[in-house]
Amino acid sequence: MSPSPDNHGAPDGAKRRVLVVDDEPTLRLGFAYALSSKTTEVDTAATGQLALEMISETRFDIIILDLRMPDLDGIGVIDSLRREGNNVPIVLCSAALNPNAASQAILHGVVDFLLKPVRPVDLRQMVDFVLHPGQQPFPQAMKAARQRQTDEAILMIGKNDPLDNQAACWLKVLRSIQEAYSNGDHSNLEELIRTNLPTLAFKGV
Amino acid sequence: MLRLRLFYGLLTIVLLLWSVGAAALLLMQDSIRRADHQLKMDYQVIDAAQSVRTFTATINTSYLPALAGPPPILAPDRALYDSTRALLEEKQRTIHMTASNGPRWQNVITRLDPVFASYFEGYETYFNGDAVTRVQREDLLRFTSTQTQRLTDLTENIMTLGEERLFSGAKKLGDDSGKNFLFVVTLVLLGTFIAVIIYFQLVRHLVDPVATLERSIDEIRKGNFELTLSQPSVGSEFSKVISAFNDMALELKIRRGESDENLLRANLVNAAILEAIPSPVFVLGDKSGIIQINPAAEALTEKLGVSGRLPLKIQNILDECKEASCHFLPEDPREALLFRIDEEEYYYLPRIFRYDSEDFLHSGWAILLHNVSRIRWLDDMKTNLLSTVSHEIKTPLTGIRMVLHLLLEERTTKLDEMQRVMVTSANDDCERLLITLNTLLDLSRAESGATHLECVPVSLRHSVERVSQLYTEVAANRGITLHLEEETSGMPDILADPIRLDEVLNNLVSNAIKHSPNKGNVWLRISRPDGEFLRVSVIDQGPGIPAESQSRIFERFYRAPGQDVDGVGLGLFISREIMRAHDGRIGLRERKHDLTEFYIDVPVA
Repeated sequence: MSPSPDNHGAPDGAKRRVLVVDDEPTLRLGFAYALSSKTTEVDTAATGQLALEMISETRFDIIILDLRMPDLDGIGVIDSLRREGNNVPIVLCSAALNPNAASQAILHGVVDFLLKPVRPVDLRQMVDFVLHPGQQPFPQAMKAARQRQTDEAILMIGKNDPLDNQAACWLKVLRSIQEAYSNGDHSNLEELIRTNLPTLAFKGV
Repeated sequence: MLRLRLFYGLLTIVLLLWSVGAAALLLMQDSIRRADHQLKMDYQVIDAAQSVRTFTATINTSYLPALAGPPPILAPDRALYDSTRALLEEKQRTIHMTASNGPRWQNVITRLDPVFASYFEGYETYFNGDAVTRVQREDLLRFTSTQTQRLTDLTENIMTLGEERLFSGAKKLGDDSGKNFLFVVTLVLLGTFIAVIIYFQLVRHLVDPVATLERSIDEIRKGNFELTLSQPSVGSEFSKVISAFNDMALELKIRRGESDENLLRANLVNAAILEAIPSPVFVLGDKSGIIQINPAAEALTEKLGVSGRLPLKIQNILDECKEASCHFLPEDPREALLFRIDEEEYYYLPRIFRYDSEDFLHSGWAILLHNVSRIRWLDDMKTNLLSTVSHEIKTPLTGIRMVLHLLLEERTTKLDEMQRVMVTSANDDCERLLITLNTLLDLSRAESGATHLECVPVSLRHSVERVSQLYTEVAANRGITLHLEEETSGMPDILADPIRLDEVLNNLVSNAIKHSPNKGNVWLRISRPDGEFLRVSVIDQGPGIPAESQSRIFERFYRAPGQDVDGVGLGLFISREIMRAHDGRIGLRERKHDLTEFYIDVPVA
């Protein structure tokens, strides 16, 4: 296999399919190398627009999405996908994650954040965390959150014992998501994200 | 001269006094003497006349009765007669002597002598015994009686005249005293007149110069140095004073001329300096408002539509300065005030300076508006550039790092020893570069965003806990223990931007860990130094900061010499910027018990 940054490999039902969307060629290359394995096939897209096209053609299990991109940025891609009713899990991967973008993403069920620079191992763990959450309460809770089942997520997170910092933080965020859904007031959520952004980001297992 | 004048003036008055007194005395003595003399004469003549009558009566009483009888046998005793006659003749002489020269007096006197002679003749006849017959005797008697009668009449006349003269003498005395009185009055009037003249002379020579001097001094006090006093006559004591005064006036005039010149020059220099200064400058007096304003300031106020007045923003700062009575000399361009002129933004850094004269009469404020628009623009440019460049470098760098990590993982390809060493080294450099870039980004964020804090009430304990948790692992790797201490529980919330506060705490804690010895301790202590602030102290057991570096550690890009730990020297600078934006404090405590303590003070919400 000689993967290239812009590999449009043929779909293989047995394999996990990952789409890496980033405008940085080396990073696409790196991500593709890092994730490619016998069980995982990686496709890459250089722009948001291109990514949307590929997503419309192929079903991906997970999308690793950069936030800052030239034509259509990460939030634009998320917006567009969710409008189409596509609930594919998305990992937002950026060097400069801002609270505003993060809160929009969270409201769209994007709860997995990777802060660049990323180590290959983090990337693999992230993908595993999303695609194979296992039975632990926290990954399960995040899974529920991804599907925007906030009540379920809160319930699951509560099972975490002891409640670590990240989990506690997510509990607060989830509660304010509930609040935001019920009364449309996002200010509390944004505030919470602003304060706790580094904590909310994915940490290697 | 003046003394002489005074002496002469007073001497004249004294002499006048003496002469009036002497004249009055002399006149009085003279009139008394004359009155006395006259009175004596009058008395003598009256007395003599009276005596003549008495003596004739005595003679007649003694001898005439004998004539009525027959002639005596014996010759009559003429002793009485002789003695009386002598007295009579003496009285006669007295009358002669005391008689006046008037015609009436002469008339009586000339008539008196023959009567005396006839009278004595009669008695001589009697004593000679010539009248022996009865007829003769009767004739003699008759004759003697007649003479006596005449004598009596004449003496009567003389007495009348004497009395008259007495009365006329008294009258003359009255006249004389009247004249004397007039004379004395005239003398007194004359003396008064002379005294008045002397008074005016003295006024002219003594008081007038003093009064003129006083007026002139007043004039000089008002600033009129042009006047000179006329020189008085030679020899006057005032001539020295006047010439000294004139000298003084002249010197003052020269001095004023000099100081005027100096003032003029200073004014010109001032004006030139003010004009040359491109920044608007206002000089205000405490009482008089704006005293001076340079062309730049005029132009600015005109453009702002507040010609000749201070812009409101400046006035507000000035008012604060006045209240605190201190200078306002900010250095940081970020403290500049924004003015919009013709749709453009200008930043002016107000520098307000208090000036006082030593006597506090001339005090006020000088205000210089330093145009820092360009500096601000450049600073913004630099920050933006820094941010952009850092991001632009960071993006590919993350890619490179990814690739290096992948290579080092050796999942697909094994690296030989040489390759591994090289890739590892490249990876280390890459990591270091990333850290530097992150710091630069922090710096640009601190510089651009320091004023855009989003402060909310935050629990300081939660922030400290977050940071402590974040670093627990890093610390544990080196056997360092983090201790979180709180002086008292129930501390109030603080007003802070939690993200920025975390940055500061992260920086301090990572520094503390970096400089701690292995298996050391780092304490995070929350305390409350005063009512307004909460404090977090970060204490480590590291070697501390060299004394000569302590004042510079908060500077940009400063690194204490001899450090082997990584870093670009921005952490503390950024922390300080953030704390400053919080109106908080950051500092290094004096090293005690081999402990280094950094602290931050955050205002209570």
